[in-house]
Amino acid sequence: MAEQKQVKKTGTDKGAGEEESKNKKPSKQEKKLSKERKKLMDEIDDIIDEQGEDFVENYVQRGGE
Amino acid sequence: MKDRIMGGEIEWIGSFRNNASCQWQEAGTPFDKIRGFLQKKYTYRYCNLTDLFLPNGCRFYHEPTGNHVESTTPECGNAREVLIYEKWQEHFMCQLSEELNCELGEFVFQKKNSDDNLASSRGSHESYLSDKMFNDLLYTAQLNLTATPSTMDPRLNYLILFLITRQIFTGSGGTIIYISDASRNAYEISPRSHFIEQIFSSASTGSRPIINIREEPLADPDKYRRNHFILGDANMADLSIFLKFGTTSAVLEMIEEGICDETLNLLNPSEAVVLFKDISRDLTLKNVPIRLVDGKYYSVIEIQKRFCQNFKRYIDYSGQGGEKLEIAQRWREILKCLQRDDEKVYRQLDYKIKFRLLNDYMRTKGLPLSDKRVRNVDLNYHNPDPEKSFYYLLKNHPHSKFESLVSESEILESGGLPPENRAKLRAYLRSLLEELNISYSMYWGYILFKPVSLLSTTYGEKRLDLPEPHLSSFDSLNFESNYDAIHYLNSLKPGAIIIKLHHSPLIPQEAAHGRAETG
Repeated sequence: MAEQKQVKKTGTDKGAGEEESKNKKPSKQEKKLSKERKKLMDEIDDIIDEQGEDFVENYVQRGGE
Repeated sequence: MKDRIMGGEIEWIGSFRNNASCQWQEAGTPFDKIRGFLQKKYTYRYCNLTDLFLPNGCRFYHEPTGNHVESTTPECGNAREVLIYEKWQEHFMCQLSEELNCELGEFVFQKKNSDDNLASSRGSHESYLSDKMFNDLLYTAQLNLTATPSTMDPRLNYLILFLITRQIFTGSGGTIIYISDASRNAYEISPRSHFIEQIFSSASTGSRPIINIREEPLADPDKYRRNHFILGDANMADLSIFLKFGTTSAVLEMIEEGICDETLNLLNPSEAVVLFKDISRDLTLKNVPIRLVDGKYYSVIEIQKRFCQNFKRYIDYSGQGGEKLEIAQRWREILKCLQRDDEKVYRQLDYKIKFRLLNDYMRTKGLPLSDKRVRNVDLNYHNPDPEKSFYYLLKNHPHSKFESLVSESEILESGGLPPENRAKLRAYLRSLLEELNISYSMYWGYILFKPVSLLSTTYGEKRLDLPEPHLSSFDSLNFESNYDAIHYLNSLKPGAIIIKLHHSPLIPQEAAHGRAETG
């Protein structure tokens, strides 16, 4: 994921799932859907704005050891 | 136990604001109003407790420790039933927030493990009625809290290994934020793993365990133990919920039936908690080697495959089909798909669906994982409202290939009625008490009520024990111990409770034996 990629990896596990999905070539269907997918992302934005983006600040899952 | 009763609890994130210009606050606080609203809706006039058993046997209440609203399924006879009632609860919470929104302000509920600024977490707990053999097994564990290979029973080792590895299909996925070290921020398989600190403990808050050793069967303690697991995530995806309950019950059944693959044991069980967390961080499912008693290392998928193979062999041998066969098949199939990172997993398992969703969102919007909008996506994935839920936005999309394991009509119709077991009996008894204007307190395993004429709070209180979760008939009520309560209710309404005397009251042992066999 974007943020993990900025970080120098110390283990093989971090962000590796993302590497895998990135290396895959998008199928025809994925390309076709990408426009719709973008539209979906905008729909998501509308819902977040309606709720207020600070909503989530009450529910941050912090990492433990 | 081949006919296990099981069920799930959901601790809801609840948020409330008076109107759009006000700040959001925890929704636990206005619970009195929620309860009053529900009591009116269901015309419960005589229920003393804040807990409410809804007409279909689901229970809804306020959990004071974490100040959140919590709901449970009724006693369910299989994993599919759990899925139906869990989905019914999602509908219920949506409807509740809609109805409350008109009356009180704006409510939002989300089904997600998370911690908040008060550092309280919410769980998605599972209960499995089990053979009382677990009493001895867990009693021994309690004595040997330091888990070494020589002191841990292989059956418990087997169960622990299963529980820490099942997350590859039960994980909800989630963003984990480290305030002090942002470089560690990550997306993980099982956010709940951050709250698990011990192998065995009786705590459900504080130092939470992989295996809870609290003994509270909520049923006949001479026959049953309840295995209560608090290490699971809150799921939205049908398959994650179905397999979570189905496979866990399967492994418990094998242990009860004396089948335990002792090669499926951790070489060093004291590493279980660390492994549980490491597996959660490894999205490749390949990079956390798990060392078993043979000294060799295995991947999490290899281990789960062996559990699945054991179960298939067991049901073939014991001649069981039906849902158990479906569980074995779906389990096998999803492990295969996970191994090759097949497209199917991105529409069947929560942590895979959400992983792709967050990645797409981050890429489209150019935002990092820690951005609050990205965390909003994570949180609202778990909203039960189809209009606002990012899980349902994907699932209900015209091009979606998400598979539903239960239909909407099953959820609303079957889910609206209590299952054919103790839940149905409880529903009958509640309507009887309401009809007779008797105030009562209702629990899973018993009901307390007070004769109408007595004013004192406890004097003369009568108790009806409901020790048998499998049965809906009056025959499951022990006639001798419940005589006083039954006699009183029948004096107010003749024939309200009829017990056939050729059952347990005359020859208790034989009758009990017969029940266990026909179950």
